[in-house]
Amino acid sequence: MESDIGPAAARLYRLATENGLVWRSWDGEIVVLNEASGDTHRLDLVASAAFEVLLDAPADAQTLTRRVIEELGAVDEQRIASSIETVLGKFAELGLLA
Amino acid sequence: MNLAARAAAGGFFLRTGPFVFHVRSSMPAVTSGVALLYADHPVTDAAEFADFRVSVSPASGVRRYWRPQAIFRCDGFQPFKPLPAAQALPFLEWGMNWAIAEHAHQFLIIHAAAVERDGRVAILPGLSGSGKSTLCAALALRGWRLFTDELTLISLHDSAISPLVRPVSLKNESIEVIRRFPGATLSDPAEDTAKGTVALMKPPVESVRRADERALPAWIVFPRFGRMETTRLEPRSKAETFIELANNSFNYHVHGRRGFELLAGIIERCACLSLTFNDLEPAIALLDGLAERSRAAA
Repeated sequence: MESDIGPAAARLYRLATENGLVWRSWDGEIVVLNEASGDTHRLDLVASAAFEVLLDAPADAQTLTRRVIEELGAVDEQRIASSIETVLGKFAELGLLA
Repeated sequence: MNLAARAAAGGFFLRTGPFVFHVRSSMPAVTSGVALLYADHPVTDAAEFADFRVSVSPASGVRRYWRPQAIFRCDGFQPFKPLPAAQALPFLEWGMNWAIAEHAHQFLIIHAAAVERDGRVAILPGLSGSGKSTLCAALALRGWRLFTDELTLISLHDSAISPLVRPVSLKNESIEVIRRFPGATLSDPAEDTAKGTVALMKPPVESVRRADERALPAWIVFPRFGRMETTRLEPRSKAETFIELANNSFNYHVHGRRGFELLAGIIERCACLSLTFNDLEPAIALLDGLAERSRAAA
């Protein structure tokens, strides 16, 4: 359905850090506690890179994909692009997005 | 009066690590087992404070004549269904573990064995069947100081681990394997428990004597016994180790951010490793080597 809010690609994704996210990174892998849910999650390399990028600043999906590719030095851009979609869905499900 | 008689009379106060248990039982399997396994522990009859008052008593009713059962109580509460009387001794140990895991939230409690060498603790988490308790018992009989085979108690204040020196629970084939080690003293086996045949190993006297000496962790080693595997020690992901420890904790969820920060600090200071082994001797040698290298580097 079309809406007046704007195209999905333009949405800015922002981490819910003000809701109590606590994290640590080891060897490129992030473990994050969501204090709101009480759950702790281990993020894989792509999700960890996306998390790091969003910690710097909110980003739309396109910018996020580009920055993650830069971070990881990944050559398979198509695969990263489709992974980012999954990662953002997972972040939303885990309550990591504002 | 010996310990067995005291257990059957009014009970006795047993200090094990940071806890005092009041232990009472009239069941011979328990009293003789306790007398054997806790012979070196500090025990008093004086009416001092007890963190937990535990007892194992025979179930009443006509059923006791053809299928005798044992009831465990902690502070008057019966948290479990009765078990066959032949399992009364391990039942006491499981009940004591339950009491600590359920109530001692002044610690972060990990389901893991822990042993110490030269002031450095190796935390050995592991699922049932991983060989955790067998390895722990073998290390304790080979010069490592026993902290625990089941409940690793981590201070919320300084990350130090408190010894909880109690009998090591051995199952099935591992009973005979450990019995062959010089210095091993084992209880009579209890058969047909939910975990198979169980016997308890008396903790080494030196570990009991030093039960007040805490120490910081240096290694987190996930043991995995595999008959067809080659014995090896490999680094593992710290992030994965964090999640495994959190999942193996009885009360990580209770501590929220504090628990996260504490566990993260532990992960940062420790080498995180997987130990796959098909035989105890080379596994012990690998861990001895770790301790040796740390001592040399210090």
